[in-house]
Amino acid sequence: MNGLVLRFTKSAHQTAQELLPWYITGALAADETETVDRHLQGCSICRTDCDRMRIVRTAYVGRDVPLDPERLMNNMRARLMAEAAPPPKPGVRTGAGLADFWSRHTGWMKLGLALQFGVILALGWVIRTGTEPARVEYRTLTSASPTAGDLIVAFDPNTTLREATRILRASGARVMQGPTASNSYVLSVDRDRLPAALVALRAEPAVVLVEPLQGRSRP
Amino acid sequence: MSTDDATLLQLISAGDRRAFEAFYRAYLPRLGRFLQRMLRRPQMVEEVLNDAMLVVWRTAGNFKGQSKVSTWVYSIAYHKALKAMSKLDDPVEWDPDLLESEQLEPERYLMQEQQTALLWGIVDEMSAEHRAVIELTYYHGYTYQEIADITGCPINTVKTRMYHARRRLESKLSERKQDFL
Repeated sequence: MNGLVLRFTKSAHQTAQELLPWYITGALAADETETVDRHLQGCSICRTDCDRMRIVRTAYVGRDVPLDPERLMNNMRARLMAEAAPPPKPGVRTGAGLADFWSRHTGWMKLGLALQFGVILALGWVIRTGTEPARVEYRTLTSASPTAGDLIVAFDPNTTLREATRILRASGARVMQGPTASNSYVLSVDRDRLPAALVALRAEPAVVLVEPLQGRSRP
Repeated sequence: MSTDDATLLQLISAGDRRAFEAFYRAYLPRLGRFLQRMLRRPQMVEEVLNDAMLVVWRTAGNFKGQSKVSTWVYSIAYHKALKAMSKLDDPVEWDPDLLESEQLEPERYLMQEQQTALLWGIVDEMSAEHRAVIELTYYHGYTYQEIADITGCPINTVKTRMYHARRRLESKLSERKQDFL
């Protein structure tokens, strides 16, 4: 410490010391910058600190960390599809009539609602006949394999019902769950046909996502 | 506040996925960098980043414009990172031998890059709260007020954390004077 520093009050020096990190990054208000400027004119300690801090900051910034935006974005899309509910939409009326509701939704939503209605009807029939659901009724008697694999699929919102039906039939997969509010479906396919089904679905331009659900194989 | 960011948030709150993707891509580089420095574990960065952005998607309608959009987003990421780290066996001690490892291949680095590795190693030994203040100040250029908003603590706490972090840096660097300054 030298005599020059002692000419400043302790609080003025401390104030400058506290502000120096933001002084060197230009993130102070004009009056604070002016205060530090004035202090630096007479304080060699703070001037030295300032110079060192600039060097440290330059070295600290370093290089950016590379991330794969496409892979991250694809993961994000999958998570959005798994979301149970979309964010609230301000201004959307509640209690509107069925016709109004139907007219406000896209072909994709109509497809989803139709499939969901079909699943509800099927489940109702299963319950009414006293049979254990899903495990038995969603499997065909002609199934070549006793095991099946699950996969999740999502269609482009502009896909028509006819096109979606064609794609599902061609893949050999059956709808097990869905649609979720984010318009994704869980499909089931015989395990030995799973690779071919994945290839077939991924080749369809209308399919925006298809992934096997690991660890969810059905007995 | 960035008008573009605010507009995108409004669209996101109405369920617009294209707006969300644009928002996501705009924030990915800087938020990824922030989380990389906060978490110190590359394998955790992507998960926490998407956790944070999922909160943006779900709660965009809650943003009232009382702060910058970026401050709001960083605050979400900061608290997600703290939560993720609380489940781990912290702290991860910096290994000085890392500089000599094949992973870093020091012979391929210029002097400044070696200094960066040295600094990051020292900062990595600090608490998450101190790392955040250094990162948000030196790299992201936030004011102390904005950092207080992001971290949810008083301004004086931000200044104190920065002060102690600087002292820690200087102390460690003085031990490695031949490598730095």
